Amino acid sequence: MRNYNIDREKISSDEISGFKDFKSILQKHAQTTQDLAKIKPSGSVNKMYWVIGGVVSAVAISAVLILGGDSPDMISSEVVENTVVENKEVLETSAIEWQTIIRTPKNSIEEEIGVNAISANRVDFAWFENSTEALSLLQNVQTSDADFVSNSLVFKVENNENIVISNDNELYKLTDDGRWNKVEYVPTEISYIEKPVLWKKGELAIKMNFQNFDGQASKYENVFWKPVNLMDLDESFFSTDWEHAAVKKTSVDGVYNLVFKLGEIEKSFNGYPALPKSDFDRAMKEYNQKLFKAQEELKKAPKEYRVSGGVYTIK
Amino acid sequence: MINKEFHKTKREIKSELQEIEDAKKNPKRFEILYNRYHEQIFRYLYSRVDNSHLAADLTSQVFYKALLNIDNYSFKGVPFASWLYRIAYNEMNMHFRKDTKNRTVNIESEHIGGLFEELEEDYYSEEKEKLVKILAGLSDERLSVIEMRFFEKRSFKEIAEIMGITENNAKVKVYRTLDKLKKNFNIRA
Repeated sequence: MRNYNIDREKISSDEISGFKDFKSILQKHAQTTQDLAKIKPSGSVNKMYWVIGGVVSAVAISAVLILGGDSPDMISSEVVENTVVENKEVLETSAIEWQTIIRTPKNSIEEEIGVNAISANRVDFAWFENSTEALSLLQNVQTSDADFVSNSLVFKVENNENIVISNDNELYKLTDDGRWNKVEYVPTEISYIEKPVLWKKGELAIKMNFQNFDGQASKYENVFWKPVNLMDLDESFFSTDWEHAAVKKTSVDGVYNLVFKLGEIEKSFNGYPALPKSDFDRAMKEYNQKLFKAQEELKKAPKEYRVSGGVYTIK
Repeated sequence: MINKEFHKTKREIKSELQEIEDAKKNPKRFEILYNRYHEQIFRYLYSRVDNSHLAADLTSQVFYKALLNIDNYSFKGVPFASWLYRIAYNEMNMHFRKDTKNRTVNIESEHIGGLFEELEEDYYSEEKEKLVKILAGLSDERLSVIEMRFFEKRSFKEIAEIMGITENNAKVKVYRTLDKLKKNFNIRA
């Protein structure tokens, strides 16, 4: 709750008058006007500002987020102006703020959006609490030839690009009718974790430890290889005194090709490792832990999007 | 109920428009307007902050922004004073977005009676603080409409001009806020 005062001591007109300082306002205005005169006029170069601003912004956002911009510091207005005017030091800033730089030609949109957000032929700043506020600004812009160059809130992608954003954020694209559409994120799949398979007594399988086998089950002493196709594991695999046996991965995760040799004779079948109950239980526990860890890591991982050209924002 | 301080005759408006045009050509001429509205804008901001120095800083910023943007001002039904108040309103909002702890509610007892009337509640002095506490807990927007309507006696048109919304929308916001105040007041009874 806010502080409150009832019948606070009144301030006199003389006291208020003591705060007047028109000279300093005039000086500040003169300095700003001088600084702004250095900025290139809008018009044919607008598109270039879009391109540079957009690309630089996207890169800056990606870089900041990737490099851990969890609690960004606010950047100074000087740095922001440099971003637009000279396009330098952007990657060194760590700002993701609801701050947008607006560059607009004269006689534009100030009436609709609040005069302190816009100034004619110059760069100024607008702060937004959320994308709704920004949307109203952008809707107004659509009716004018105003030009936006954004540092963080809104950025333009010219062609297909990869955008990486923090997992806490969502990416939105501006539609032709002025709405923000959430860009659907297709999560990256968890890397394959070999799931243990139970071997029950009596099931057809060949018990064997391969030296070159490095799968999840390799740490257990009793590994039974069950055939993918029962017909492939015939009697000869058990009755022959094989000289050499090896295992290699197939293109299917978890399925291996087992090769047995005796002189010129070579036989093989596709199978997968299985474990007896006691080992299986331990392996399942380990598997669940690995799966949980992988899921947690995936949740925290930055989101990577492949996006087409357009205007985007993150929220 | 309406505060006459915010109203001007056609002649005054016309004369002021000339002063604005002069200021567009020569920023030094802006001083006339600065002197005219400095106190009003200061008081507007002072009634929403803790101390006079912060009010003075914000006031200075308002006039700096106004001077910077004066080329864009043209009279389209929004008086120059309202234009300044709109800058002040935005400036204040921007300031409090960065530092919410300094937003204060400053109320004079004489205004509280009127608010009780609007709420159709009996006014007892011991209830005064309760109402003020409820006001202090309102959202910035709701608090602003109450301050402007009941403490500063502004018309709906002025509130709309300052907030950049339609007059009808201003009315809706005021009455919804009153409704909320009334509910909160009775809940805490």
